[in-house]
Amino acid sequence: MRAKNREMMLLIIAILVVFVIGLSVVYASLSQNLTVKFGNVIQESAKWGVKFQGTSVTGSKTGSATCGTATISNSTTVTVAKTTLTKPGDKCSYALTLENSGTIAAKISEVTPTRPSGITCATASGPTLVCGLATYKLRYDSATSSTQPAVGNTLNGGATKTLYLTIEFSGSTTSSSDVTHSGFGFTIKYEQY
Amino acid sequence: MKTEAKEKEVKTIAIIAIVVAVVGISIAYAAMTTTLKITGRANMNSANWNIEFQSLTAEKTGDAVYTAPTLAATSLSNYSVTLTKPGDSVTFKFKLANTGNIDAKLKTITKGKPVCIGTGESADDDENLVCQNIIFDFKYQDGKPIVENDSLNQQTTKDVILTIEYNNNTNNLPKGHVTVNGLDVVMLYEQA
Repeated sequence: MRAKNREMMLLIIAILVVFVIGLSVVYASLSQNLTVKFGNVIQESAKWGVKFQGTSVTGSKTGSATCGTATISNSTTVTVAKTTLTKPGDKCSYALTLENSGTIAAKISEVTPTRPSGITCATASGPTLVCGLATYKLRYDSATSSTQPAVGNTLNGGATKTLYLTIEFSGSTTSSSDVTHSGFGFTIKYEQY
Repeated sequence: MKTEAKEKEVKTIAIIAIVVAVVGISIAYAAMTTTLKITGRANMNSANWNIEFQSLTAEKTGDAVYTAPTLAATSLSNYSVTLTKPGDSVTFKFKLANTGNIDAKLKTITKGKPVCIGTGESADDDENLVCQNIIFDFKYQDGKPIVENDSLNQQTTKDVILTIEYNNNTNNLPKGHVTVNGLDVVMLYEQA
């Protein structure tokens, strides 16, 4: 009896050992090294560049308007030479191209109008000025579009957008004397998106 | 002691590295704004509307005789022309001028038809003959016709020519004196 029990025990141990060895062998064969080898990783320097494209823009006239040339300096300042409007409907429009030549998306943080010196303006808000007999506007896509530049508008890296500056004789009567509007304008501030 | 000193050195290097990184990041962030500016000057001119005739000259061919018209700003009047034989002609050259600051266009142009009044026994035949052979021509000096919707922009002029001629290709002349009336031109300009 004792001998038999002992034999049984030895057999169980052997089986167990074989089993464990088997498990170990199977486990060992179920592992595999996976290797990911890095090549070159290039970290580009971030580029920031929001600007106006080109060096000058010719105005498009309506009616009896005479349109001065819009000159672009330092890619960030547009100066419109003297324009002359005489009667209701006279208009000068300038198609300016905004460009984000950098790699960082930008967004508008401010759109501020500047009143012409000494002229009362009924409206001076964002991209619209109504001063005396004239209306000054900034609009996207076309001179007659209702889509205006506003805080939060984005300009992604590499993208361009057309911005129309329009100067229009919007009064319903003609002027009895010559009136000069100096220094009207708009400021658009872009920051990182 | 040595280990402590080394630890201190490492800590110092780490702090410096972090400071440099923070400063570097701050500098990069501060630079990422751009202000675009648009500025200009506009004149609202007082409206000035003025279309007029200017600079009249006259010339003739053959035995033609003429009295030049009286030139007023908006009319050329009281001219007279006498033609004697085929090919006789009188030409009046003048300018249409827009001296205002509003563009104009020709709304209507009305050219009169000759009305011939003969005398004597063959008055009727003479009237028909002359009215068939009198040439009354009004056009731009470059030869183009003057038509409705032609523009006359602010501060510009256009040269025109008015010619009265007896047909050079006929041998027939009236037997008596024939007066020709109705050689008027009326042009109405309006704002373009």
